[in-house]
Amino acid sequence: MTYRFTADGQKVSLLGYGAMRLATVDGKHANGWAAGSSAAQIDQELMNRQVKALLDGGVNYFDTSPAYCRGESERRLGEALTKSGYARKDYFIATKLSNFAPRQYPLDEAKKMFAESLKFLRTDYVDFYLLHAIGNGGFETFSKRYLENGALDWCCEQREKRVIRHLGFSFHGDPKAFEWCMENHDKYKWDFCQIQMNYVDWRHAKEVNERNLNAEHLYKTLTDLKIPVVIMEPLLGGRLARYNWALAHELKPRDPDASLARWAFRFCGTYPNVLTILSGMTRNSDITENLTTFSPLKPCGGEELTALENAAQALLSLNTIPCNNCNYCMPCPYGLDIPAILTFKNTLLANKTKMSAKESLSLYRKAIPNGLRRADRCTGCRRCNPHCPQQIDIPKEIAEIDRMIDGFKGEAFR
Amino acid sequence: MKASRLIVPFVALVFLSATTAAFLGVHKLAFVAGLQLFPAILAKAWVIFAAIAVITLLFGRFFCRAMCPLGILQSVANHIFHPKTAVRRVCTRLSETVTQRAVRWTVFAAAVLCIALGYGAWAGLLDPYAIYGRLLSLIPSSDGEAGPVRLNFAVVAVATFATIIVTAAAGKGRIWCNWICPAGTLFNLVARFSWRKDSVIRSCGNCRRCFPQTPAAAKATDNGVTRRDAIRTMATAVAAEKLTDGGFADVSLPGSPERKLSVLPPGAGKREDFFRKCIGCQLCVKNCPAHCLSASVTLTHFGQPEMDFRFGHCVLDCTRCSEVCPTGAIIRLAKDEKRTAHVGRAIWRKDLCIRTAEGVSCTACERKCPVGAIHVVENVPVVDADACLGCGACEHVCPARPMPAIAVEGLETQRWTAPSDGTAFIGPPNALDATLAKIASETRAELQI
Repeated sequence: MTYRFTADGQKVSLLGYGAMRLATVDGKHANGWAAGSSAAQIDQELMNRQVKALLDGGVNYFDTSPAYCRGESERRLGEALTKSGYARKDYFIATKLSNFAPRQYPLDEAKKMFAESLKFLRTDYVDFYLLHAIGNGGFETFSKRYLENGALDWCCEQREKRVIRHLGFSFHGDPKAFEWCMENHDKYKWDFCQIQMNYVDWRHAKEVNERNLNAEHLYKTLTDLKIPVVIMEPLLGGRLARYNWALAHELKPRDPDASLARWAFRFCGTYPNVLTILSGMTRNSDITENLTTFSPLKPCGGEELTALENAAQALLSLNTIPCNNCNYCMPCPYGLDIPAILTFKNTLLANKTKMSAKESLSLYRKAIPNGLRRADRCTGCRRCNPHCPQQIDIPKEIAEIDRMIDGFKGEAFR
Repeated sequence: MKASRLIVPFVALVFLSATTAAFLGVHKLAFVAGLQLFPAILAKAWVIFAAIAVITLLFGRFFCRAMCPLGILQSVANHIFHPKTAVRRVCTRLSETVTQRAVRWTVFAAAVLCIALGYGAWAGLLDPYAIYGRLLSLIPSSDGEAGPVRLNFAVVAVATFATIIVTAAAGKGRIWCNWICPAGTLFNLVARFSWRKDSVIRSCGNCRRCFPQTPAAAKATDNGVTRRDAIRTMATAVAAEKLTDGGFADVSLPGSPERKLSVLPPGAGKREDFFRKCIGCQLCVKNCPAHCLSASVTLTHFGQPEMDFRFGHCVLDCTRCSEVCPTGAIIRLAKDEKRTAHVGRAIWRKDLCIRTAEGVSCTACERKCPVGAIHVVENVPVVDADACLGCGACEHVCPARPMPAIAVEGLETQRWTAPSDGTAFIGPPNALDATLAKIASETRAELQI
């Protein structure tokens, strides 16, 4: 296992565990996998074994949030870590202040959320604490969630008391929030920062959406200020790991044995200021595969980086929807399975040969078996949009997919 | 002798499998349904009718033995239970009691009357082919789209009746064919003059083993899931405040709105013509790829198809139901005619709409309308009545529960144009269109638009 160090000399594994895509007893993961979300129970037995295996393999960074997996993630992770047999000092816990709903804005609610995190995680301190998804919903929301209510100052106090060991933030959305944090670095002394980084977002995040910042820019700004970087979405919610003819065409000939996921991890690990790379490992095979990739991690050479840039361009030319299946948009108040609908379109685009209307329709019906959760049920209420960290205009995409489905029907029923 | 022994089972197998396949969604085989007796009469397909008559004059009740799906199924059932001593014959010379004869002729008279007076739905209850169709309706659709809620009383009652017929046949031979079936009575009449009647009669032998021990008082029972039950169990979706990620909000099927006139499949044309010709065999219901047809449970139209938009809506380019209809109740439409076919009109119900009731900015109906006939103006979905085809897309997607807030009303006479030659099928002005105009003007007055 490759390790990196924080400013205060803590040894952190380059592979981190993200507790957002926990396996459920029905074989999916709680935050949506290829076939969308699952409402089934999380498979605690399996998770305990997986966490133990990761600790055995040298992984010591575990990332969660009060919002993940319908609010189950912290409690489940707390149990798995306690039962692993490892001492508290052997691993780091990262969790977040996920006060997204307006009624959670007051400081008392934030204090309550933090206290619950400690309780669920069965600990009396948090190693890494993050302001969750700053910039989501614009600077105004950021200000309401952390500045006006004094939550950020309170977090700093907790850091003084060593209840929070490292304070940072995760960033999506409005660049103003990021810029504000950088300008006030002297005051708040960020210990780390979590950003979305992978070989697509490195130079093309802005292309995908005007309001995004390229990961290259974020990384360089943070490195200049000597703030270590934690990476989320190294695989774009699995889009850089699942079969995709554009990526396979570019990368497989170079190394037929390497999985697409390995390329993506190696890209992130190439950059020295990266502290850890988070991966939501749902299946046991993900864990074995990742441990092999990271023990030790082989950085990419210059030519390989060029190949990855070509792969990124090839992927973008497919015009897939930048949905990472994070499920922040869920639950949709009208019951739609948003991630499954968006993923469906990406699956269609991932194949080089075009599917027939009949096949596409059957794939769609299989991907979302309940007719009441499909694209045609969208009311266009737009309540999902503020939650999307990728700034996708969800109702617009869904309306387009629905039109596509109607087209398939017209053709298939002819 | 030997040839007929091979020919009859072979032809029977072909007909049974083809008819069954047609009901299970192989719509290209639906033409075999048109070769059945009742459909041939109702469709006025006299060539087919004459062919059946010739076959009967030559070989007696060949039709019953090798072409009628319900008849063949009875033989199959009997053969399974009595492989050695099978009683699979259909008789042309019956030794019957006065009561049995009375029953047979009463049923025959009833069937003739139903057809003559235009009660196609009731004629269908006596037609062996239509009964077989309802039996097959119990098999769920292969794409798993429409749930078991589709099995309403009209289907389950007749399917139960069919099960009784087949069960009785398994034990005692073709009781239905010899003692009840109106088509059988007609064939018997003709078969008395048939060329090869000797062979048929000899094979019968008048053994009386097929005689019922007790009269086959087959009465349909009600164990169906009615639409009302289905509605009663539905809950309304509740939009809760989002605190955590993932999971699902509850969803429920909407109810079927009360319609002044049911919406008929596109191609039905005039209501009375459709009701006269349709025997409710369910071939269109089973073949509708959009799953927007279901059997009516009203007494006068029992089992005849009507639109039900809970599982899907009519797709503009699709003419499947008119392609498969064996009786011509659904007039065969060309693609361009179908695209212009008006089968109903959407009516918005203010009190149910979530825009007015809950203040949600929903645009589902406007977005979904395939002809752009719905415009949300100042918070009010306005239906352009001239443009609206009645496809039910808006009703299908409306999120209001327990009833959709926009619902389609059927028309007295459907209309469509063939853009190629400009001819139109336009009926006389009718009462319903006046009702609709009244509702629309009332709504407008109420909303001051």
